[in-house]
Amino acid sequence: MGSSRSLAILACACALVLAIPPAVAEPVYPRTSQRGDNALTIGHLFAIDSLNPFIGFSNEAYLFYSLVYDYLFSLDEQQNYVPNIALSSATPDGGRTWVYQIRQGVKWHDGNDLNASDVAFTINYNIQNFWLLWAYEPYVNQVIQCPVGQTTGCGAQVTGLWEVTISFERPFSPGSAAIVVPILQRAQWEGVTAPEAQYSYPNRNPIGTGPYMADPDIYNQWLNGNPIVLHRNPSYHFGAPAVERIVFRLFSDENALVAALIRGEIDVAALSAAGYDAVDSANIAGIDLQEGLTVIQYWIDLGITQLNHPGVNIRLNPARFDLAVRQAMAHATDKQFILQQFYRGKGALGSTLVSPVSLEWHYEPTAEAFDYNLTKAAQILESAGYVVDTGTGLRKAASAKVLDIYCSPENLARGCQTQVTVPQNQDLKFTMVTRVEAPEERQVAEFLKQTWAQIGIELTITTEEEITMNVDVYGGEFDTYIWWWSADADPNYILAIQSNFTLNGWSDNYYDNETYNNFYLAQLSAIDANQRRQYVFDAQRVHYLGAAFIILVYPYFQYAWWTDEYAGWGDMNAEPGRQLGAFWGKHPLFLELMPIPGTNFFTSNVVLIAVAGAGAAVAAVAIVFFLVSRGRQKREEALPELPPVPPPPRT
Amino acid sequence: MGAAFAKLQDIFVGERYEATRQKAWNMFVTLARRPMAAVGLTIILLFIIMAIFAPWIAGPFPRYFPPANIGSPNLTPSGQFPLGTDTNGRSNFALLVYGSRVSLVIGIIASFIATGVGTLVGVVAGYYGRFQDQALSWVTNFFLVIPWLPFVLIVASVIKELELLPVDQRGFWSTLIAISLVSWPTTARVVRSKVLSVKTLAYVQRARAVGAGDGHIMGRHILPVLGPLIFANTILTVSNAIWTESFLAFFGLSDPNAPSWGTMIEQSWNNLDFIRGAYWAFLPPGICITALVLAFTMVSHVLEEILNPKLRRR
Amino acid sequence: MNYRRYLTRKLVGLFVTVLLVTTLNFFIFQVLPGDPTRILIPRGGGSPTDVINLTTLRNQLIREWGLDRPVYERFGIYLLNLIQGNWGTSITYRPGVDVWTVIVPRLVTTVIFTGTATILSIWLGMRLGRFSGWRHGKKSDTTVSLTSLLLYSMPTFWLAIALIFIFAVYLPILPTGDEVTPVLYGSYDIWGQIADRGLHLILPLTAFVLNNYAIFTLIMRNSLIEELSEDYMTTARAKGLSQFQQLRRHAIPNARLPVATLVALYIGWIFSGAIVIEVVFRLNGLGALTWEAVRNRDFPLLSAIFLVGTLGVVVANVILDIAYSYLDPRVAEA
Repeated sequence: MGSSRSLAILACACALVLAIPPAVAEPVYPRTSQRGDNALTIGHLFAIDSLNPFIGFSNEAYLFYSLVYDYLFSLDEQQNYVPNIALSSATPDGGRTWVYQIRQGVKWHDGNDLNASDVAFTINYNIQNFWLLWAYEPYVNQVIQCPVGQTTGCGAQVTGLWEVTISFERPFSPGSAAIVVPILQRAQWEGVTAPEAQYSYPNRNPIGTGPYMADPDIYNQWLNGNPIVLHRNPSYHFGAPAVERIVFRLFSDENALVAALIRGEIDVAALSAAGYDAVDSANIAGIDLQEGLTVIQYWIDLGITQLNHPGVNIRLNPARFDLAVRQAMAHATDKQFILQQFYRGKGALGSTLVSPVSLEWHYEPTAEAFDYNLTKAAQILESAGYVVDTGTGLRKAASAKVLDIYCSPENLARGCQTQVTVPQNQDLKFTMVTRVEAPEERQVAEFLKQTWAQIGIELTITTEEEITMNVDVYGGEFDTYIWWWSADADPNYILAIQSNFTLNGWSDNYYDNETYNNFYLAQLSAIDANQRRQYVFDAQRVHYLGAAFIILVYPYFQYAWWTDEYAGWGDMNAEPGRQLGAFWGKHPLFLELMPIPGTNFFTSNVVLIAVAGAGAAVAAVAIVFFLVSRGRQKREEALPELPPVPPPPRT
Repeated sequence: MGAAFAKLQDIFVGERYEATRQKAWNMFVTLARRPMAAVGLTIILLFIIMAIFAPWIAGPFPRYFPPANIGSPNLTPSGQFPLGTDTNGRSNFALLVYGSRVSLVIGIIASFIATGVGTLVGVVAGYYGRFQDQALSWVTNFFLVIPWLPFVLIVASVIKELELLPVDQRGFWSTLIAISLVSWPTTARVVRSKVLSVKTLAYVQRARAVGAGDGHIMGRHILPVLGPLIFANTILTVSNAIWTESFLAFFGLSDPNAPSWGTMIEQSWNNLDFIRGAYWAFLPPGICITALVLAFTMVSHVLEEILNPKLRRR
Repeated sequence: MNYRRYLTRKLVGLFVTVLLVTTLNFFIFQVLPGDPTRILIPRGGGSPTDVINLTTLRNQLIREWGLDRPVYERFGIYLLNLIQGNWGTSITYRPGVDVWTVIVPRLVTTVIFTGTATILSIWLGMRLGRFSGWRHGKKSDTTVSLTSLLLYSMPTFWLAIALIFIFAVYLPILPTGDEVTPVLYGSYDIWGQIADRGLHLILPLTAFVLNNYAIFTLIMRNSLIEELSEDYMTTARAKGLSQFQQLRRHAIPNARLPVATLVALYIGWIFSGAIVIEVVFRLNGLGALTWEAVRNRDFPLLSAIFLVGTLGVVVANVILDIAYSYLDPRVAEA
């Protein structure tokens, strides 16, 4: 009995180990389905960080808000702004004032009607104090703050039964449609102070006007990491959507996500390049995959901080202010290799602030492009006065160099120094930080470290959680970093974060360039589209040449979904607005998805569950019986042993 | 320095420790005779060879520029890349071979530190007794009581954040300290109980009665007896240390500059290799960890049998 | 008499350990991580070099969290809060939520899962240890020992991945993870729900047990062998009792003594959760929460979880010690 049992154990172990290679050779994935629930389940990897639209910052959070809330204008499938809460916008004075006609008959999820005062309240709420409440600052920072007592010509005012007027500091071209602020219910939010909204207000019952309503228990679902459920809004002003429920299911890692998709536990998955390849190679009939440039204009950049403050300048390398050094770095960055090696070719080569997905606003550098050329990079450094130390292979400043730096007035007030000296023998040693959440970025840094060593620049790399990196980058703890941004269809948002208006905490590299600032303002106020486009191009070109961001790549989105339960997915490349991640409301995809008739059947592994249940019951009974049957036993004479020392448990 | 070197020379070559050396050699031979231990020792030796001769076995450590052991990402095994490449194009085989260095180095250094501290604490507690013993007993109790793995995680991540260390060494030291911190109480406990039993021996008490100094007693009488015990415990600690290092690596808390086997599995996990069926990426490092930990555990298991006469075959 | 003194000593020891644990907890989480307000200021919130505005913000936060008082005052406040049941507020994982609200549901899940798993491991380990120790030196002993060591040496995550791959991906007879089938769970009746939970627990339980039973096997085996070599065992054999009776009445009860400490510790460790298994199988337990808290640098939450874990072990140990001394009074005299 004994030896056969141990032999059995050993045999099982051997079978386990030996079975793996042949098993892996031909995996088979039948779909174990849980269909017929009319709930579109979305699997994603990054958490919806908060139910409160001011706190959440992830792209998934923004998608969530865009389903629950609405905006004045939304984006259609071709990235054009279309009316939503606002029916139209008009400017009587060349852009300094915008008048919006508000749609009638829009209902909040609690049944109340939306009116113009909700809209005005939302705008005014957002501009009350950018130090305490900053989540939507780039959209509204040009709105005139109302001094005490004044009620016209400032802020957002209700100027008619269904009319709101917003007054701006200067002609504001994005005012026509691109103020992407979720419209909040005045009754709910007027009691919430600004710091509460930004830090602690949990927003247990999000009340919006969007096509989907929050489940009554959504706060507990979110709190416990359970799937978050949204129900369709039957009185949505564009018509109730066909899909009854949307469920957001967070996965802690991609293995689980892909496994769940393949087994049919979720309907659609937001994957990374690795997941996409895994699903692709599984080659399952019934799963569709798409990838392409993201409509949210997601890109990865190498930032070189231009934070200029005596306290910071002491610990960072002053050579970062030297344009020659940055341009040499740009020439020494092999974007093609990075794209192929670390992003598996799934993306477009990085260039300027506006992603090429925006056919209207993206600027592609031509003659001025930084080609990958190590010799040129070395030459630039040499002529800028950085010579190679034969002992270390590192470049250092041959003689002291005084750099003149532009400081905009806002920056000067913060201690910006207009002259920085690069001392003699200053090494070209820089620190770099990347985020833990994206291991490929660490490898990119590793690659850059080895490449830049060829031209005499030394990099020291750290990796941190993004939450810590946030603090460190904004606090000027590192010379360089690899990070991301995503943007709006309207270029104002992304251009703003490199302007002097956002040096108060949006710009992560504190880039401050007079020409750029002028172009930024010019495009902001250019009401004529063609003229505005010219300024937007100029701004991008100036920024590109300044090389304070070396934009490395525009990574693709990767989505995969089952085609047998819902129809209407469409082509997310030809119609970028349909992409799952679009977060401008009135979602072209979600409002068009239809359940395929005839899939409302119920399959469950009844027999298997019954067997498992019986097994579990038997096991439970056996355990209880065994424990009970141990009575107290007599002990013989024996010395109590010293207790042995336990190693830790394998958990 | 000279005195220490002379002492070392004395131990390894001099007459005075002839008996101890002979005993150690005998123990080694006994150990090697038992098949389980022999297998374990062989495996350990193989991995040590792999670690030392890594550049000859696998070529240079994977570099991007100039490229060495680099190919396109996620290649299947071929002549050039016997285990294919990982998601960044690095040769899995090279990573595997160089990974042995990390596991061995961290495992051995961490357990040396842990054993050193543990022995010191155990000897002081056992020898001086009373208050020292009680205080140290509380401390070791505490360490044995805390949730071990969460504690390791927390220590590793807190140390990583402290600004005391240069930036690119933080990963290495945080791993090392975290592992040592949770391993030393085991040694301390074992050593303490042995010291207690030695302390009561007749010749030790006589030495004290005659007026011999504490240092003398500890050095001449207690430490030599502890020798085999500490050795056995060190082996066990090494196996635990290597296992813990892979645990930390899986959670991304190990040294990012030095990819270990645990890191390979973690990357493979993020890369969904087991869904794609790329078993060549995650099986070998797991097998290596298991083999090395098993080898040390087997040796320690046999050592325990040897040192405890009651466990010998009847 | 002796028994009462033993009890008192144990309770005093408990109190001292608890005090030590809370002190260390405070030190690690409140004092070490530098300026906690650093973490609280997310992207877009102003740079530290912008002295005027950031100070206002920071001061507000400091006042709220009581960070401006000296260390001993903070410690006092900390202890007072603990006693009153206010164990902290999560700052980054679930901002603004009381830690107990976050911890309690996870704790229940963890205790159920880890409890079952631990008991199974102990039982399996001790049975195999008994089996193996009795047959010391024979091939079956070597096989069992070797297999145990092999499974014990495997990294948990590797073992878990292998199990998932074989039983949930290649032969999809078991779920890939989670505690229940999402969405559909709500529509099952009570038996369906029990069955569903059971089905989902099979793989995680297997992974845990396979990885952990070995230590009990080895220690039980070793102590049994030691017992078997004692004089009284020779006497028993000479008396002519049958093999089973020998085991039952003499050797095994004594052999269990060294295992008892280990059992006590493992039972205590139930309260900290099995981190790797919970993360890989996506069980919403305390271990997974610990990992989330570490990732999010949520120190108040981490501190509370840690305290729960250590207190669990300490209290469990004391209870088991007292219960054991009731069963075997000689321990109290030691």
